[in-house]
Amino acid sequence: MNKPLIYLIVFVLCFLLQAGLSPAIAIAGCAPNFLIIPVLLVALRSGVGAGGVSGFFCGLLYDLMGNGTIGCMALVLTITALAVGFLARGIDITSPVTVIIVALVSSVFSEVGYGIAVMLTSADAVGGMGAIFAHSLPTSLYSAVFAIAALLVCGLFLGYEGAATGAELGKQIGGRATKMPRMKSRLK
Amino acid sequence: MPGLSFGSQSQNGRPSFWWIPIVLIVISVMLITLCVRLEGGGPFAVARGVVHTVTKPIESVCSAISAPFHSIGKSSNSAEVAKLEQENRQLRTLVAELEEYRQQDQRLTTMSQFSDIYGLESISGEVLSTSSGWDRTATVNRGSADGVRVGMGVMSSCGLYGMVESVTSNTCVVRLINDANASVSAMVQNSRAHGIMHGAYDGTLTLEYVPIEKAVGEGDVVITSGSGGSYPRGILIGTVRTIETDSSKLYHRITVDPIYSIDSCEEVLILTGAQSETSTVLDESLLQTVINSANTVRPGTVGVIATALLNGTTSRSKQAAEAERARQEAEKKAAEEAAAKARSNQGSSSASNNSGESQSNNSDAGNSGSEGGRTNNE
Repeated sequence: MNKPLIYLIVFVLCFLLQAGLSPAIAIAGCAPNFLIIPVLLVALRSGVGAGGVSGFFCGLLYDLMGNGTIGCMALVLTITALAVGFLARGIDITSPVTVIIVALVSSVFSEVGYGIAVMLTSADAVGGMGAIFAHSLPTSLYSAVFAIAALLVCGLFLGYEGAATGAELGKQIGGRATKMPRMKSRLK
Repeated sequence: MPGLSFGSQSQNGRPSFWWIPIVLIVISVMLITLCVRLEGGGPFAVARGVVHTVTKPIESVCSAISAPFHSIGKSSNSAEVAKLEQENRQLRTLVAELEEYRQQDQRLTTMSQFSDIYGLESISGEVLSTSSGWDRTATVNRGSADGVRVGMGVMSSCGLYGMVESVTSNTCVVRLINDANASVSAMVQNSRAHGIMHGAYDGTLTLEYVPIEKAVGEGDVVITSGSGGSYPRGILIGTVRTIETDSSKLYHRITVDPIYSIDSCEEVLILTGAQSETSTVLDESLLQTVINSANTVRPGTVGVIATALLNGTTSRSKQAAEAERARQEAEKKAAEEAAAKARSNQGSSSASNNSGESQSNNSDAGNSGSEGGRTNNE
């Protein structure tokens, strides 16, 4: 299936879920962040550059949809995408365990990072550390559940095609040598 | 580091473009700086307004779609539903609806009385949604079309609620008083000690910059001070829970318990303007009604608040009555003096007129007559 088309569908779906469903399914003030899904998907599948762009615009959208300081989530998701994009070069992104770990760590990083960014940009940070434990961590776990499910489902559509890992390269070299000339020559 | 040249290819042969996120990170930091400097206004407010205008209908549609599913989950559907049971359910639903209307009516009545107490012009609104994470705000179904403007104060049926932060045509976003970025000019009612009330990320309220020489006790009532002009004076905020001394040893740092659960408020009053300058003399019977309604919200605090508020109100009512009496007496005295002066003036003028007339009759020139006229004028 066409990768940009899948990215577009995932982005639109996640935007609608973030705008409509997220406030409705909030538990004790913790609403999941659906916009981390396209960021992780693009960063894992298309690398640092596209992931960074995706992270910036999804974060900016999140900031504009909320009432906090604009740019905080854009910054955090861009950094997340940068880290995930670099990480994706050396790991097997098609493994469910890898997807779970990446989604979990990214989600915790982005929510805690967002909390710290919000605290740093506000005049008074009273109760901030307590809020990180009481709000950021539950929210990140809640977001991670949806992110893991979405990434695994997207993996079914995208399969191994176009993935950027060493494990996948080994599989691709035999059947699709024409697409990977540099790597093939390097391995020879 | 391999692959870190501009547009270089990564392991799988695709260009890396690692510099794009770096540029975007710099842009993000610039955005944050600008947003903090402009306090979220200017182009940021416009962009946010556009996004909110797009997303609010989606949110409304989703909540409308999900509402029936919630009710299905709550209702008890058995396989064998008899006619009487069905009727019973319908009646229960009706009773629940009526009870909801009754409670709503009670809240709205209290709010309108509350508005009357403070002599405020206001419009009522319904809370559509609240966010209680890092950002404690509420969306209310009143917007610029209803006359709502940024910076207007918002009250609930029991006390202070927040301030309008942004407005679209049909909705507005209210920053709650327990938000970390919210601050209210407040005072302790008994000691009249002024300070600044701050929210916090964990939802607590803290009254700061209260001079240490001011006596503050646990359980004292905290109200708005009216300084700054954002809120009228005398709106109830909460009661003092703990008192500490801040690091400078010059001020108290007081933790305040809100009188009601701010996050669970359903109806609010948006203060569009004050009828009088700042009404501080409260009607005791109306205040009693408000306290009675607050009793349903948190019974424990009402006794303290009722006593404190009524004491304050009574003393202020007495002071006002005495001042009014003194004013009336002064006016009466001034009127009497004016009348006496007028009478004396009338008597002297008639006398001088008589003498002038006699002098002018007696003299050839009108000199004496003109003097008399001058006397009369004097």
